[in-house]
Amino acid sequence: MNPETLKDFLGTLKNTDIEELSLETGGTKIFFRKSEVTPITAPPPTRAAVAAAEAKQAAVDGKRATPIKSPMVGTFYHSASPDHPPFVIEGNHIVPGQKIGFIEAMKIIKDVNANVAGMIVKVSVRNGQSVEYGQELFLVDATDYAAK
Amino acid sequence: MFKKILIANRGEIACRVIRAARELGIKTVAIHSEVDRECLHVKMADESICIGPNPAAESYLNIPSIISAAEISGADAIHPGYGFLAENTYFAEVCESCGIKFIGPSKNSIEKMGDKITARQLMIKAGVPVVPGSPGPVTIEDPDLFKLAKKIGYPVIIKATAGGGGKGMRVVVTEEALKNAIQMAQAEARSSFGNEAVYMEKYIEEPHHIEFQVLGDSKGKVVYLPERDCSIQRRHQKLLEESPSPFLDESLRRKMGKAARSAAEAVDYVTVGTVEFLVDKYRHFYFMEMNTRIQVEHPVTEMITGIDLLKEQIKLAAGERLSFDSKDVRILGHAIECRINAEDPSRDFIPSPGKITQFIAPGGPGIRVDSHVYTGYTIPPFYDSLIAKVIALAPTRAETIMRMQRALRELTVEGIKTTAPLHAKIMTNDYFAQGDVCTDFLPKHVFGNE
Repeated sequence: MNPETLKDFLGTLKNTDIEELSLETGGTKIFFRKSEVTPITAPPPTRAAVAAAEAKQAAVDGKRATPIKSPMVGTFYHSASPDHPPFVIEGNHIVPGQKIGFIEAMKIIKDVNANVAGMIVKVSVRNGQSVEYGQELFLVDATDYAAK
Repeated sequence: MFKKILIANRGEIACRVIRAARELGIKTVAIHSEVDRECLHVKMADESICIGPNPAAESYLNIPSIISAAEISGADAIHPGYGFLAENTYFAEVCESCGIKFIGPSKNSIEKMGDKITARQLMIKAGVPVVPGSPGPVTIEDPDLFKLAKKIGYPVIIKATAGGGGKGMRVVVTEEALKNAIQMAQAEARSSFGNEAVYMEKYIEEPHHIEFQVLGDSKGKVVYLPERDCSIQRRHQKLLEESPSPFLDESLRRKMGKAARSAAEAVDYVTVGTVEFLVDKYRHFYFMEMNTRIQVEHPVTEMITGIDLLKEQIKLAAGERLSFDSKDVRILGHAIECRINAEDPSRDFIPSPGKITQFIAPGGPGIRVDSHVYTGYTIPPFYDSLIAKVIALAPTRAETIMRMQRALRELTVEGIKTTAPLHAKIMTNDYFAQGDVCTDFLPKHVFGNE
């Protein structure tokens, strides 16, 4: 088979739905298989998603971030128990009075309730971390709520 | 021995405790209010925890916060320093129930000595001389009130049983003023201490305030150290202390020392404490009260005996035995301590908080400075005004006075006002040089001259 013929042949094959072909002719063996793997390309980010990411960074950079601070010394917990999901995670919207964690000290539990409305842009402490009075627990983008 | 001590205090005494703990190989945890983040004790300690906002009630007096801090830091002992919670029996109890050692005496000792009437009764039983006075509280309804006052002999003083710091006291010179004085003292006691019980004592004229440091171990052994003379006071607050007292001789020292030991033994005292006496011009001494904590003026005793009282206190709290006797203690010279407060003596001692733009501590032979301030440090307005203690030691009293004069000239504190100029005046005062020092020294010999 000459190269020109082979090229035409492969071009024709490509446009069919033949997955696999094996050909033996005049001393030439050709084995052809269509590849199943196609590269994954991410869809280009939408305008809204870009804006949201920039706003979050700006908030974290302190331009609009409001810290929620620890009201006491103790151990901070994100969730009611290891089997429960956290009260809040990054990206959640909170309202004043909402329980967002609790602190344990001397076998006494004190709830940590939000004192602002907004979106949690950063969870600043780990579950089970020792915290001091005034330590930053969360960063909240408080204007996010206000703008709505 | 303890692994980690949390210091429930601030400033210079917190630094002092950290130094002692460090020399004993013990880790330290400093606690602080928000404004105290830059305080020296926070920088010195191995760890630090912010325990509350600035007001003392919400931070250094906040028992749950302090205990939480001990829990999360894993401290096995708490040193309360002086002031704040040092003589708070409830705090001592809470520490005990949380399995944390309170570095101080038992809560029973604190309780017994904390109530002045109970303390008096205990001392009478122990054979320690007390100021002649009423067996219990007095009120204007007592039928034998005037008879009792006459027996004690005027002038008398009405004092609050829960009192301290000069509050709840009234001196009565004549019978006519007695009932009114009792009512006034009761009112002040009610508002200052929440307890209006008052008692009556003979008012000692021209008294010398002389106190003895005592140490006790858990096996019941008590040792006393050479006395401190704290007669120079302003509004019942000590300004300057020295050791030994220019007023005592060896025989009176021994008598009073033994009385101090009996007083401590009467309450099964462990760790360190101080028994305070008043001595009148006839050299009669009377038990006044016992301070169940380490005191501000402890360096004076450390300098003349070479004993590290904070290390001893920690060792005794950990259950170690006293390794020496009173008779083994030598007096190595004479020491004077000047308390440098952030106050303006020329404006009636108005507090002077603010930023210290330059701080230079004196140095050289025989000079010790206990302080938490440094150049650039800002003194907060929320706590007491003591910023430094300057202590001088020399072979004789005259040399110590010269040394302190020299040190006070070197001491530089710029940006705020301090009581250093007043101390410089006292050091050049003739009456002071002669050792003519009673509790009326300042108004009589210093302020009167202005």
